[in-house]
Amino acid sequence: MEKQTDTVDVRGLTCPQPVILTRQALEQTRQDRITVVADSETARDNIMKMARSLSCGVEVDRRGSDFYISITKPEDFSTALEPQENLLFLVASDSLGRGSEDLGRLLMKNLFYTMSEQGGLGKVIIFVNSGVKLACTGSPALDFLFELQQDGAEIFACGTCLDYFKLKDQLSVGQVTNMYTILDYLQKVPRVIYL
Amino acid sequence: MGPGALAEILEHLPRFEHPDLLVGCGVPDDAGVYRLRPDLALVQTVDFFTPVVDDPYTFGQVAAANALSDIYAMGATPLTAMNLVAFPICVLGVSPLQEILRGGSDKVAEAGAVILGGHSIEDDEPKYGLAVTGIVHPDRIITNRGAKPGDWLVLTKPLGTGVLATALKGGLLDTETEHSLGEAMAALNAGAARAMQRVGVNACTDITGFGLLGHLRELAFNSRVDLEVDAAAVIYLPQARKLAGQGIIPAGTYRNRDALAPYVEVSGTVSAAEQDLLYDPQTSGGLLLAVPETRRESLLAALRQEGISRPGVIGRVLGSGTGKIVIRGV
Repeated sequence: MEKQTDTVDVRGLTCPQPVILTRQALEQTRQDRITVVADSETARDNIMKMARSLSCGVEVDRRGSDFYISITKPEDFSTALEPQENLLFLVASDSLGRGSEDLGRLLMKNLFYTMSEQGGLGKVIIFVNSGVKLACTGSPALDFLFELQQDGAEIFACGTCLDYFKLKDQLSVGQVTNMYTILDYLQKVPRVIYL
Repeated sequence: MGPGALAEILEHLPRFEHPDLLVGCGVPDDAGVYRLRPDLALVQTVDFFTPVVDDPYTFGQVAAANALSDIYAMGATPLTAMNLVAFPICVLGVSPLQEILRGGSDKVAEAGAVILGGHSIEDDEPKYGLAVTGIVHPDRIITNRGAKPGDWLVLTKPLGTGVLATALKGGLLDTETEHSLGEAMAALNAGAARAMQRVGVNACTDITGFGLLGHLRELAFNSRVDLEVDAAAVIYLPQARKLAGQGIIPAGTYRNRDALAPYVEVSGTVSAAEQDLLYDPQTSGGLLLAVPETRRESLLAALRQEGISRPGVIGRVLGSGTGKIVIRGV
């Protein structure tokens, strides 16, 4: 019976159906490997991208006008599908690292840019001290923070810090918070990353 | 149709030459321009497509905003529009079509133009769009051939409608994201056009089927310059990068990439998902403006005044060239 779920034929289907059917097959099969038969380069490329986003191994074999795509699950496949557990970023400065303030600010922007690409789900970001500037008008990281928030990240800025820098009316993304909430998160979230 | 196939077809068609033909097929631009009097020129464009969202009223709005956009991109004012309808009336009945046309009509009214009439045919697959006519003073035409070395490139809408519309087709979008997709595509480029006319820009184009890079390539080639795009400065619709990374990418993206690859170079690290989005065919995308350094800040201020909350300074004109584009990563 299970042999039947091993091969998925997506020939003749247009995007996004080949990707959706392949993903379903990967999630449902108990085999370590499935083969997908596709008849367009678009379907082939999209299926490969989807498989790689789930850390699967991919090999393609061309037979005539069809592509036989062999997808191998990684050992921890079931965890790749589950939402990650919460991760807290405590951002205590608007500049990343020591050495050059300007470089640090560029690095901080790049950090949130890269983070926004990973997705926001399961992430909590708390800004304290000069870190609050990152969530205020004119911040180079603002667009990425918006994107993270829309994608499910929770974003907070320390109210005392906003007052100190006279930025309370400049906060553009996230909620104002206080030390009770911050401490609560620090103790509650299993993994905290200090920046 | 992709830029490659279209260029091949147009290449073999006879070109019209006329002293009053100011912008035509010879140098591809957003709309055609024909001079009527020394102080008045006619601007014409047409665009139609199959539904990109499920809600018929929103689809009508999007199709109209998209058709009107070509007029705005030339610096012109829309005056009149004609509906183009293909619809399986026996299968779907009249009410979805009524909603589509109501959406189109509301957008044309919002633009201050009028619908004069239209034409309809029976077709298995619904299609809707408009032919739009506008006017402009011949000296005030803004083409895609005026970009100058040192100009900044400003984009007025986020990218990603092709990827999100593909995800929507597969039932992969949450309601909130579907709503922001519809909202982005239905937004008129009227405010952006007012801002660019007030401040003055060197070149403009609107971002549609050829994707950001396809339209940048036209602008760069026609202006005889090379460009650079800062990948981190480009703004995307919510979920677009994530879905692109998961392979939810329309065939048009690959067509655009294949046609444009010889002119595009990547410097530094730019993720595959973002590279794909830069080629992603847009429906009713934003205006792309080339503005001199001295007017950059006033343009951004004018755009914000017109309600464009996140105009992106996405790149710069490098120098005279042959239309090459460098994408800079982190």
